[in-house]
Amino acid sequence: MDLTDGALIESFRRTKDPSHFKALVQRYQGRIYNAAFRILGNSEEAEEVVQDTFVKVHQNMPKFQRQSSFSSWVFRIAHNHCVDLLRARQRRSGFSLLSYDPQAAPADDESAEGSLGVVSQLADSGPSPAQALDFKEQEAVIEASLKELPDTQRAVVVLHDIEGLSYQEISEIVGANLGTVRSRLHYGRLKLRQLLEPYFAHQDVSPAPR
Amino acid sequence: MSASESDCNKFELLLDALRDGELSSDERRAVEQHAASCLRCQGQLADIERVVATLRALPRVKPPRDFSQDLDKLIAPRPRAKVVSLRPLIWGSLGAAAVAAVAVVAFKLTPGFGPTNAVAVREGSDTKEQRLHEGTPLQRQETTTAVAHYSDNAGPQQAVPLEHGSLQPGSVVATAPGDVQQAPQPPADDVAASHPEHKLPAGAQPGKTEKMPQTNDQAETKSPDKVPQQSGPGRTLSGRTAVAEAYDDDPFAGGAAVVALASGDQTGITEEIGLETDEDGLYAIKM
Repeated sequence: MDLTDGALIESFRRTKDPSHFKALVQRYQGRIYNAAFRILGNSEEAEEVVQDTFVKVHQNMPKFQRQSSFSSWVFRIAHNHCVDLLRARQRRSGFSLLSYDPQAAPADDESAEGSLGVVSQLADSGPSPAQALDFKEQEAVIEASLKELPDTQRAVVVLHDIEGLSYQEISEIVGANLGTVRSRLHYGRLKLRQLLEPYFAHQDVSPAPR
Repeated sequence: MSASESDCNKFELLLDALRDGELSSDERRAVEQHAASCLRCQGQLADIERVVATLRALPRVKPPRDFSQDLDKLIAPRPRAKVVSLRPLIWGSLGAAAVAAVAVVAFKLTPGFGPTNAVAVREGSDTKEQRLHEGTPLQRQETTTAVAHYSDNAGPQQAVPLEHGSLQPGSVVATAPGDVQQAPQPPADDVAASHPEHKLPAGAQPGKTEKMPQTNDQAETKSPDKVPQQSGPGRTLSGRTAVAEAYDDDPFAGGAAVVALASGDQTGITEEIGLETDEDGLYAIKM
C-alpha cells in the first residue's frame, strides 16, 4: 500500500532516506509538469519549474507545516515559480507586446485583468477555431485560447479544470481569497467560451481519452 | 432591466461555483431555484459544462524525463545566491529622514516661526527653568513647556507643585502657576506617607508655587548639566509617574501647550525635566 504524503514526509524527515523523497517526486512530477506546461505554454520552462520546485521542496522540507496539505504546498511552490517566469517573460518582451484589448470590457477588477495583457497572436497565426478539423487541431485551438487568458485567470482555470483542485486548495496555492478564485474562474471560463464559440459552432468537442 | 435579468446578473457569477459544487447550501438553494426557471442561466450552465469538458479533453502532457532518476540534482545543496546587502541604502534613507525630521522640528521650535505645536521636553525645560528663576510670566513664551509630575496618589488633576529649590528628583514642577493653584492638592503628609522617599523640601507649601529667587547660580541653572547639582540627596521619586494634562484654557500662547512626562520607573526624573535625557526618558509631546 502506498504511503500517504504525510507519512512519506515524516519518514524522510526521520530517516533521511532518499527513497521517500523519490516517491514524492514520482507522485507529483507529472501533475506539476502538466500544470506548469498549461500555465506557461512552454515545455522547457515547465521542466525548469518541476526541477526547481522539488529542489525547493527538499530545501524547505523541515519548514513544511502539516496543517496544510503537501499537495497545496508543492503546487504553491510551482505556481510561484510559474509567476516568476511569466514576469520575466513580460520583462523581456517589454511593453511592445502589451496592448489594449478593447474586446475585454472591464466589468470588475478580475475581468479588467484581461484588458491589459500579453495578447499573443497565436489564435490568429495558427488555425482559427472554425478551421480546426482533427483532434490535434482541436488541441491547438484550446491551447491557443488558454494562452489568451490573463495569467491569473489561466492559472486558476488550469488548477481547477485540468488539475481538479478545489477552490480552497487553489486559494492557498495562488494566495488569493475564495471570492477572488471564484471570480477568476468565472471570467476565465467566460473568456474561453467567447474564444471557443466559433469552434463550438462548427463541431462538438468530443473529450479525448486521457 | 427586468427582475429576471437582474437575478441573472446576480447569479451569473455563482453559476460556475454551482457547477463545481463550491457553493454554500444557502447559495446553492438560491441559485438552483433561479436556474430552474431561467432558460438563460440554464444555457449558461450548459456553456460552462462544455468549456470544462473541453479543457478536460486536453491530453495530459508528460514530463520529458523522470526527475526522480536525477535525485542527486534535487537534493544536492546548492550554493547560495550572492546576496546584495541593501543595508547602506536603508540606513542612508533613514538618516536622510531623520535629518529632515530634525529640520522640521527645529523650524517649528524656532521663535518667530509661528506657534509651536510640538515641544521637546529637554529644550522646553531649559526655558522653563530660566523662567522660574526669573519669575517671568510664561504666557509670553510660544515654546514654553509646562511640566508636571504627579505622584501615584495624586490624580491627574492633583498636581503637587513644589517650590524653587525643589527642582530635583522627586519634585513636582509646575510652570503654569494659574493652573497649578487651581488644581486640588492632596495633603503633603499624604504624599509623604504614601511615598516616604518622596520628600518635599523644607518650607514648601503644597498647592502653591513660589517664585524662585534670583541666585548667583542662575547662569548655572540655564545649563542643564548644572541643575542636578542643586538636587538634594535622596530626592528621588519612586513609583510610577504619568502625567498628561492639557487645559483648554491654556494660558500658553500660540497653542503650544502642555507637556506630559511619563516615566515607567522614575529614574532620571530630573533628567527628563531637561537636564539629562536618556533614550527611554525623552518624550516629545505634541499638542
